[in-house]
Order: sequence, then structure tokens, then C-alpha cells
Amino acid sequence: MEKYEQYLSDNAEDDERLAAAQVLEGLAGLRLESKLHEVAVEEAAQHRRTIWRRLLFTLAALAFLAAVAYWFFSKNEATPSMPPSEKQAPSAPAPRKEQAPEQDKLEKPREKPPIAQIKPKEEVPVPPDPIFPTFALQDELIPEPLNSAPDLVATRGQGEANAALKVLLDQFWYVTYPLQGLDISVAFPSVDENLKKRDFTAAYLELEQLSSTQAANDTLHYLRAYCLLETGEGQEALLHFAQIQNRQLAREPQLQWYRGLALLLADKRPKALALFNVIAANAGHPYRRQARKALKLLQ
Amino acid sequence: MRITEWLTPSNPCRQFENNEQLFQALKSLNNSAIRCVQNKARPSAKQLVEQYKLDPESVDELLNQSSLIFLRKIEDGSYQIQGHAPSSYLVEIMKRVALSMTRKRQTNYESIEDHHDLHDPDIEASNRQRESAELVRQFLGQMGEPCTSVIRLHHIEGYPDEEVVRQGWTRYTTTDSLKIKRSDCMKKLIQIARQWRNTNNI
Repeated sequence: MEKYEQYLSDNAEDDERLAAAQVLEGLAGLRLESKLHEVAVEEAAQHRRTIWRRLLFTLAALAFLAAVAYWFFSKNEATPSMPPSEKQAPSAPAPRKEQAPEQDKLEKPREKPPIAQIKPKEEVPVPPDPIFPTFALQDELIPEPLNSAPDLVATRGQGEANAALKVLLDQFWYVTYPLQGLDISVAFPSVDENLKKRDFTAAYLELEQLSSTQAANDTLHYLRAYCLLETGEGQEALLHFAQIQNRQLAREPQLQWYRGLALLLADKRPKALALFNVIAANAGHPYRRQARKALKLLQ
Repeated sequence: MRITEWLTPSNPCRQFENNEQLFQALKSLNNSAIRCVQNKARPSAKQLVEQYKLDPESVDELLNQSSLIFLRKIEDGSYQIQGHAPSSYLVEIMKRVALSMTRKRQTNYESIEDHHDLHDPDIEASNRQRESAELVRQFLGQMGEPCTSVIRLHHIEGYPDEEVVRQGWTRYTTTDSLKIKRSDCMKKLIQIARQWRNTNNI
């Protein structure tokens, strides 16, 4: 018993006792109120904790799903975006988007289409090709071009023929950078950068300047031809291609293909068809499938 | 821990094996025990609020006011466990409090003093206690430190003297000095209450 309790029981007057009873009742009330408040705070904290846990779980689940989706789609995208089969050996690192569909001269040209399209020959009967009956149809299956053809409507005008040619070329514009057997990153780094950025006008202007200070050589001709091809100037490109024709065996197949495209741009369709026929008929030519596709679309 | 357990609020009733254990914990104002009976009674509180067409936000008020009455009855010994779940008794109290809240709403424009709670001694006692609590809060404010802290820590928050001394929450370094001071403060508090009662002719 505390002293005040002793005092109340011994000496206190009645009104003092009544006041003490009211104080004790009030204190008990405050104690209960304080307790209930404490419980309410605890309950609210528990509720918040549960909400955060659920939120965290949802986010983790979403992140997991996003990772799975990313993995799934990136895996699916990897196969069709592969360049033509001659581009890389399976063990080689993934090619950059700008890279040309180039073949290694020393490497045997591979005949297999991209992995997703491989089907055992015994299981899938291959119908004869209407244009080249001797070629298997699966040999024609190549990915869509990485880049689109030059905007002929912008450079040549609103003519229907220009628009139609652009649509046609878009389907087999297998023209990419860097060019085969040509590394200019050290010799002409600025040109190289512009070509990687696909700024052909800037690259061509630099090449023009270089040509005025240097003696014309095969590299400059090829680069200028390439720039002109990509800007839709077929006739001009042909002039430069002519300068380097039949010089370098390594880049000759690519040059042939580009020359064919330049002929189309220069409205020399019969010559282009003849050249594509030559390429298509050559079983070892790295651009044979591109040429076959072009022939199919052009006929 | 299973993921479903981690994602759901912990059940405060889990630690009480039977109603007797729960009752004993309620007697000592155990937080989990209070949460347990409140969680069990909450669905009924929602139903009553709907049934009596009370403000949907008054669920917490109903639960709180009923819990106060319930805990006071446990404390003064007027509620004894007789095999039933303590939460059932809380629900019974809630029904009466809900009825009283309805009456209060109906007599909103009349003299509330004349009407409400006249027939319910528990609610009347609860209101009286609330008024006393409010007065004591005022008196404590008048007293100032250290009396406010000394009384609050023991009589309101329920800390044992040893804990108060150990934590150094007051200037008193022994339980004896703390008790002496608290006794003085209580006398002072009673005198303030006495004076207030005399002034108001109570």
C-alpha cells in the first residue's frame, strides 16, 4: 500500500475520499484508453507490414515474369534476325546490326538456313522451286533485310514508279556496313563513324575531300560507290564500281551484288536481272539466295 | 515460413490455447489478447453498423468503446469467464453500444443528457469513467513535471518501478524515492480533484 492510500484510509475526509475515487477511476480509464491506443497502433503497423509484403511479392513476381518474357522473346528474336547463313560460323560472336552479310573466304560456304528454319529433309518434302527447279525451296529462306532501301521518293520525286521501286528494293536490300574485306576504322575513322551512323551524305562529303587530296584508289572508289548506292544514286555508284571491278577476289561477290542493286537504281533492269541470274546460279556465291529472292520478286 | 503465412497478417489468437488463457491475458491487458478479441469481434461490428444504419466509419469507434467497457468489467471483476469465448461477450456489449449510438443519433437535436444511456449501467459507467479520465488528464497537465511523468508511467502506462528506475525515465534513482515522490504527487492530484469538486458543488 502506498502512502497516499494509507492516508486515505486513515485520516482523509469523505470528500477527499470521493475525490480520490474519481482520480483513480480517471487513471484507470486513461490506462485502458492508452492500452487500446497502443493496440490500435500495433494493428495498423501489422496491417502496413502485410501490405508492404504483398506489394513486394507482387513486384518480385512481376520482375520474374518480365525476366522470363525478356528471355523468351530475346531468344525468339535471335534466330530470325540472324544474317544470311554465310555470315557467321555458329561459334562466332553475335554480329552487329550494321555488319554486312559477309562470308569468310577461307571458310566453306554453309548451305544451312537459320536454325529455326532447319527441318530434316527426310521429314519435310520440299516442293520444287518454280523459278529454279533445281534449288531447294528451303535454300530461299533468308531473313528480311536489316536495312531499308534509300528513300527514292525523297531523292527522285513523288512518282509512282519511285515508290514502287522502293517497296520492291526494301524486300531484298541486303546492303550493310562494314563492307567486306575493308576496315577503315584506322585509316578513315571519321568516315567509318559516319557510315556506322548511316549518315551517308556526311561520309560521302568527307570521301570527296579525301579524293581531292589523295590519289584515287580502290578503297575510296568502293566507299564512294557504297555511299552513292545507299543514297539511291545508282548511275553514279556504277561509275565507281566499274573502277574496281574484277580487282579483288575477296570482295568481288559483294561488289557483284551491290552492282546489281545499283543497276536497278539506274533503271537498268535487264542488266540487273542478268547479273542476279549469274549470282543465283553460282552455288558457292554468298549472295546467291539474295539474288534468287530478287529474281523471284522482279519476275 | 510459408509464403501464404508471410503474406497474411499474423493471427494474434494463435498463442492462446483456450478461452481461459485468453481471459487471463486480457486481465493483464496483454496486447495480443486485446487484438485477438477485437479481430474476432470486428466482423460483427461491421454487421451492427450496417444493421443500425450507423456511419460506416464508426466501426472502429464502436469496437473501441465496447472494448473499453469489456476491459473495465474484466478489471473490476464483474465479468468472469464461464466457458464462453470472451469475444462473444464483447459482441454482446457491442450490440448495446450500437443501440446507444443509434439513440444518440436520434436525439441529436434534443437534450442528450435526458435520453441517452439511461437504461444501460455499463454504458453509463463507461461514460462516467471517460469524464473522470478527461478531468484527470486536465489535472495532470496542471501539476506539471515530474508529477505528470511519475504518475503516468505507473498508473497509465503500467511500467514497474524497477523498469522506470533502470531506464532512467525520471530523475529518481531508487524505487523507494520514486514511490515516495509518486505518493506525494497522488496526494497533490487528489487535492486538486477535491478542490475542483468543491468549486463545482459535486
